[in-house]
Amino acid sequence: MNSLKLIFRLIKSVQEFSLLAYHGLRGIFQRPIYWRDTIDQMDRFGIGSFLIVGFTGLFTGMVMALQMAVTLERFGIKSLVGRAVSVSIVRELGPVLSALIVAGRMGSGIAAEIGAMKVGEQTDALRAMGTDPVRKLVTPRMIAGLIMMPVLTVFADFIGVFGSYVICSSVLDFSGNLYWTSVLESLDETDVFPGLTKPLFFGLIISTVGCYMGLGTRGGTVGVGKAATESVVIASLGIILADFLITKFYFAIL
Amino acid sequence: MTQQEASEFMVQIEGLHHAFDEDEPVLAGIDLHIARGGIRVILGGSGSGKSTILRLILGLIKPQKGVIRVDGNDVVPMSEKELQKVRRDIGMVFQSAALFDSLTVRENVGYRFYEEGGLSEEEIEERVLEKLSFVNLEETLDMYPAELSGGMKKRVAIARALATNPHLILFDEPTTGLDPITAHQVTDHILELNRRWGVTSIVVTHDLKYAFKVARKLSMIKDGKIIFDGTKEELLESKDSYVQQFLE
Repeated sequence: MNSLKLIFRLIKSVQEFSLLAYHGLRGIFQRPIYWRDTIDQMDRFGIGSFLIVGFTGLFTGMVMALQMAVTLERFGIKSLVGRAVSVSIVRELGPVLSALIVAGRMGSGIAAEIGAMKVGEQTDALRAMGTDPVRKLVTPRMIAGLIMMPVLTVFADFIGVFGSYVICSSVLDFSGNLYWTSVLESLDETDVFPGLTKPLFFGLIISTVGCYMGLGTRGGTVGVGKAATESVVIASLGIILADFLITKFYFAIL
Repeated sequence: MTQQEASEFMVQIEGLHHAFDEDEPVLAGIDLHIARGGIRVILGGSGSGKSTILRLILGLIKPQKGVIRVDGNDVVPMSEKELQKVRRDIGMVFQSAALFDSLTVRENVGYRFYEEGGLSEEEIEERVLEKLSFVNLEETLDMYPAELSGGMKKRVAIARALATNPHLILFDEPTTGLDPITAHQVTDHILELNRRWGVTSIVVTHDLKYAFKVARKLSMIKDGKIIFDGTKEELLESKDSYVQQFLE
């Protein structure tokens, strides 16, 4: 009986989440659009995350170069380090690691902020004053996620490839020309296109999960903390699952 | 109910049932008729469902059964869009004040004007100051809620509820957590609203002393049912054991 209840609750949660995502996305194409809130969210989502995303990208690129060099040297193809690192970063590591870092930072932030508004009756106050909380709170965060996550990913990709260059030129004695030529030769649309569409979905997942958990907050400050934690866990799992599905999709069509 | 009776009442609630959990009904057949221009206090213990009644009147939640008419409009079957029109005529002062943390007092009180557009910044400021002067808090215009005391937040929330000159204001535990002096000020504001503009008020509280101060009529709720409906004098004479317990 209990497991049946759990299944029903899970189905209900998926339904509620889908409806929230639908209404939030629909809000992008309908008036009113809260531009001030949207720009504020873009600032928090994007500008506020640049430093940690850049840091993650830089060290990922550096570590990847070191690791790849060791492996590729065994086969006598150390010169392909740039190629291997850039493809890995643009296809996978850039989008996924940036999204996971942003999920930790923004997923919890969104859930905690909206959760605090929920327990403080502010979401009810919005409705009482004729404002749809989905339009006011969810849609601006979705727009911010949709726009800023790809921007952050491109930034992380560049910094990652640069980090790899730093290691190649300083530790592995590569010439800069050789490195950059191999990077540019290796990347084509089959790497760049999936690498740029993934963050669109990841941004959407982070924002929507954060909003959903925040709006579902119950039980005072304890509930806010719980919503924030669960938001990070669910968004991270969602990102990893979406990454697999999108990769599978692109392998099928490209 | 005749049209004359309907216009006599600001809020009419009939056969209202509501439950958050199927096994535990919060409201089990509530009937309430609140006269225009009156102050009605709904008394009850914690978890008795009294705040739920306010949320149902505002249409924030839908009942399982029953009719709720606000100013003659049945709000139960209304869509969110239709409810927004009705809510323009209703002010709500939440228990926690529910001021928007990220907005200043000016933006909180003038929220609806900023939302609806059509007014200049000066016109909005004039209206906001008019409402803030009612609660004697003009000096807080550019402060954020975090900079206000609990009592000030409640008073700003009253000013915000007044912004569109509503005919009905709902107060959810307006004096909870306030010191006696601030609670007295809030009480005065509620009475003054009624006296000056004839605003109908529904006040939900568990504080009997406070209830006696503001109420013309009182309703007491227990286990999701109205167990008393009448004047202060009638309440004092009630033989109901729960009422007696509450009075003690």
